[in-house]
Amino acid sequence: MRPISIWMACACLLGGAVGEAAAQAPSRLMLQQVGTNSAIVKWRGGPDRVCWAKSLAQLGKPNWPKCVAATATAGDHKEGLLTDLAPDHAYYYSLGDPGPGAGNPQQVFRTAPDSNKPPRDGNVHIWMVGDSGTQTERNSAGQFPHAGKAAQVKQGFLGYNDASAGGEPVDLFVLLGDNAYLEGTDAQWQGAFFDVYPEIMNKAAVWPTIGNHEMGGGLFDISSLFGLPPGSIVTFIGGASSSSDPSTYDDGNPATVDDGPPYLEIFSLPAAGEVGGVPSGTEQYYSMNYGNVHLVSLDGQLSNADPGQREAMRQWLIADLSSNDRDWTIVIFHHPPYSKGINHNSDFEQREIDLRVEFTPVFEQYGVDVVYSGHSHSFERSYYLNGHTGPANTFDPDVHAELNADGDPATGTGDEAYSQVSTGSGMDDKVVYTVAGSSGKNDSPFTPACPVDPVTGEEPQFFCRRSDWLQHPAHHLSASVMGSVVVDASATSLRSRFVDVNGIVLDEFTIQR
Amino acid sequence: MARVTSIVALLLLSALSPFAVRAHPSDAEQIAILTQRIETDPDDAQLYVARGAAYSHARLYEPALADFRKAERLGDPVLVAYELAAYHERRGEVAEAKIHVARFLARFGGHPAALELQARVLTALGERQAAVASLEKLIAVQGRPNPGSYVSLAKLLASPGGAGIPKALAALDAGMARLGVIPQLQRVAIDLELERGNAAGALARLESLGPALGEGPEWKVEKCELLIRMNRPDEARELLGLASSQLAGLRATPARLVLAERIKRVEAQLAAAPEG
Repeated sequence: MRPISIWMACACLLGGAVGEAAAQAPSRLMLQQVGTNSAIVKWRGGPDRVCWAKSLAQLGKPNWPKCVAATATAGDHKEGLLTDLAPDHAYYYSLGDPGPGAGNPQQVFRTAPDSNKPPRDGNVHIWMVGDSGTQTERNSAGQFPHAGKAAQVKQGFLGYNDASAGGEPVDLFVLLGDNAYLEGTDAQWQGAFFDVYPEIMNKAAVWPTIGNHEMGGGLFDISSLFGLPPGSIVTFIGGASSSSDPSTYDDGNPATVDDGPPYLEIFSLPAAGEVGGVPSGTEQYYSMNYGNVHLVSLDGQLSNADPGQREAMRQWLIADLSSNDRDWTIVIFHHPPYSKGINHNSDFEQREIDLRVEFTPVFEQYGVDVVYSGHSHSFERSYYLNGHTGPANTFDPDVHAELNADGDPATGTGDEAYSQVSTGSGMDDKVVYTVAGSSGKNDSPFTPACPVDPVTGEEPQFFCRRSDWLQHPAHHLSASVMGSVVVDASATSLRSRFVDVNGIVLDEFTIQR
Repeated sequence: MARVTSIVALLLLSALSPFAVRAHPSDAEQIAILTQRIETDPDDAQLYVARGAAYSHARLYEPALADFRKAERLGDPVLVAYELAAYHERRGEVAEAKIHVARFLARFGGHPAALELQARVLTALGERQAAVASLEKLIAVQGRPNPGSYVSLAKLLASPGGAGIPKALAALDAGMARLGVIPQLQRVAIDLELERGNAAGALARLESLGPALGEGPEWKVEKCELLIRMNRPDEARELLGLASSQLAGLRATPARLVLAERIKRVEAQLAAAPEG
């Protein structure tokens, strides 16, 4: 029983604290590492503590919720580690002190189920966006030609989710790289990510992977080209570093001191197996478990650029997949092993080649079910593949794809749904590869066609639309259309859908177990 | 007026290159824009360095080298040296790469990308001690060292002519002290322990990985193999039984099929081993 005098004092304090919380709203707020028994709330600005409870009502009681003081982390962020959580349970949280008015019904998440089973609602519901960071992408004239497009893709997903998925909450919010154009600066992350998806990331943990734009680039003053004073026209040149070292990050602004990519400061990723998976020792690649799903994020940009680091990542992946016993295994990385996107032909781009040659065999040997990438600004979805490590012209469907009764590559839809344990081999040895890099823009079909050398018949790799654009023979479907991916993993099936800006499902496939 | 000229410039840029306003530049886009810039500013050495790097990255080696040579004539040759080293490395010309990266590092000693390039070319040239020094310096300057750097360092130290296995193990242990006990490093350490005949050390290291690997069937089988080496067959038999049971409960993958065959081989070894 609490003395009245203390209660009144608390009420005064809490009234002030709530007022303080309202006045100091954070500029960004997201969930990280939501596991079975713990979660991280990460934010910038606002109060210095986070409280949580199993219900909104409990959150509103002054001394009921658990609270923890924030830890300051890199990039002027704050983190609160919520512990002693029950598995597969909803938790409401608020920044600042608890008490009347402290709760926000939008700030709620669900912990992962205990061990290898789907959540109580029967389904791990995953939303993925690739190359979505176009809200802050400016052109040489300083304009933002893709403003609003990522939001359109989001609305398409939300419309689909309401109409076709019963408004099911997202369990995992997965990013496929290039989520903040052009240079992956902190300000671009704010504008292209935190300001676009606040209502997603305050309910579901964010699981990213490193894209090339996460590694910055450089501004180049081309004013003199037009006889203009310096600074009149500044355009982006440089792309990502070819180094494997994150400290080579360059935001292109000589006035700033670059100390690594903001990506590594913004996200708190599990390097020590904090959410399941095998410890990697680095946030550049990691894995996690959520119910019956094992998610692996590989580093196609940095570790992939150095042979030694790439091999170390590969050895970690083997150890991780060897130890994995979840129903479904999903791998994400930015650079697609199979793509005929503009400027990102997987027959030509070294990072894509290395991932295809050195990692796809590991996926197939160790039971990976699906792989998602971005980079190419289009949608491309493969057949159920095994053993195709060469260039596109070496693809043989009879050898490299699961076939249907007619001897054609099975589509994964309807009565051609894939079986996790392949009927042909009797093993879980095939993977569907998806490129979903059109969540913020898509390559234009009006891009001028590449000239064909009259002697060699060859076409340039860049700067034009090749005749084999979006025609990789390993793909079932390819389209240059904006959208995002929704994955639903239940105890018996994994269903992957590509949803456009109108909420229409343009492609889907199912793997059954 | 400024706005009009900007619009005109934008139109000109668009006319010159349909992709000029694209914000996902490729090597070709860089080359195109830099070429236009060089036409108006032909004495800017850094333009040639940048274009040469783009040519080099796109494996267009002749124009790359021409640009680097031009840049050297126009400006400070040291500023060209890193990209020139990278150019030679891409072409497999490691001796030349070594010369150029050394020149660059003589001025910019803590440049991580140059240090990692130097380590690679020195390794390729068989200059292990020097490569070790580069990697050690790279690790020291990295705020977030990559596990692969420690693996590369350990392999160099342990290679013939290197400082030896104890030094290699020390490097790996230093890496794990910083990054945690992770399989990328500990597995290399296990192999090194076995190479020097220290099965007990290998077993201890494998056991340290148990929690991280969930003590899965593959881990168990590997432990069985070590126990057999250490003449502890009874423990191995018990563990192998557990591994088999565990494996039987998992769906078949090619890797698990290989593991099943490995279990059979271990069973055969144990069958030949005396009881007790």
